[in-house]
Amino acid sequence: MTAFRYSTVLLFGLLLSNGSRFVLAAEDPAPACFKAKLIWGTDSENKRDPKLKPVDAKLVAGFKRIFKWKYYYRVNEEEFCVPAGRSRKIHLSEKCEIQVRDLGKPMVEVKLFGEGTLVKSITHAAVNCLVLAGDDKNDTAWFVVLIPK
Amino acid sequence: MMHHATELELQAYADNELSAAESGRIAQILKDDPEALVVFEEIKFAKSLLAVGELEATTPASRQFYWSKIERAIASKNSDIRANSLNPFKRPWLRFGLPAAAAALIILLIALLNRPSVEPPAVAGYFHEIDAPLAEEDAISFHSESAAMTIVWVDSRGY
Repeated sequence: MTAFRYSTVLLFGLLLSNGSRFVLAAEDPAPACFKAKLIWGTDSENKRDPKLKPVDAKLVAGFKRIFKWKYYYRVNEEEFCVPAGRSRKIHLSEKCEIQVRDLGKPMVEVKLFGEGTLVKSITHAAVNCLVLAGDDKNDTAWFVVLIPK
Repeated sequence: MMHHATELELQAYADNELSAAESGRIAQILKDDPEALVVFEEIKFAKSLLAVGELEATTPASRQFYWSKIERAIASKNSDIRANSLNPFKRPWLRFGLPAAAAALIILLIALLNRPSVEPPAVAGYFHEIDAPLAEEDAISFHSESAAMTIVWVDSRGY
């Protein structure tokens, strides 16, 4: 009977600890965290502007599979987290902002603002990298990269 | 002082346990030794007291009840041994093996219940929809599996 009693106590203990984990998870959902990068693509190599930083090789390799530009430079990079069900606006440059709203994992709504005006709003499953991009002057391009963390 | 062996011989003489030769020898001692005579008289006196004064020991219950009680005790002990042999928790390997097996089963169930899903079907469907370029009024969307990224190309000059 002692062994039976120990088994029962063990069973309840495990169920209790597991149940409390579920309760805690329901009460405190983890925020959705991202890294946002503003990248400039060009065919001219930059040797003068110190504000332009190199982009990591993996991202450049992915870009070169899709886009035509030879060089990619990082203008800005921000890391941020969006609480569950909330939104957050991220300032990437004087003219470029994004607003990310958590719609319940893994979905997010991303709004792109150019000079304060809404340019594009999309809904995205944030399991892979999202790139919002467009043409720029002198046959260059801009890229807003949103990487889930 | 009289020898202990002689005392024992005197006691045997009083109980008529000696042979004729031995009895003759002890009788001679009793004639020659007054101390031996005194001891012999004491033995005879004690023997006479025991013959009339010793209490008979009796059991508080009848003979049948006394033995039946012993029989029941033996039977009860045998049934305990049989019950212990049938009870799994009395076996050492089961006493620890059963709780260990139960704990392992519970842990396995919890692990299976908490196993994270590889990918929600809704996400897979979403990617499937944008595998091909999706032309919108002001943007083109597509997904590159090789680059592991979703591209939204916006038709807008500058930002």
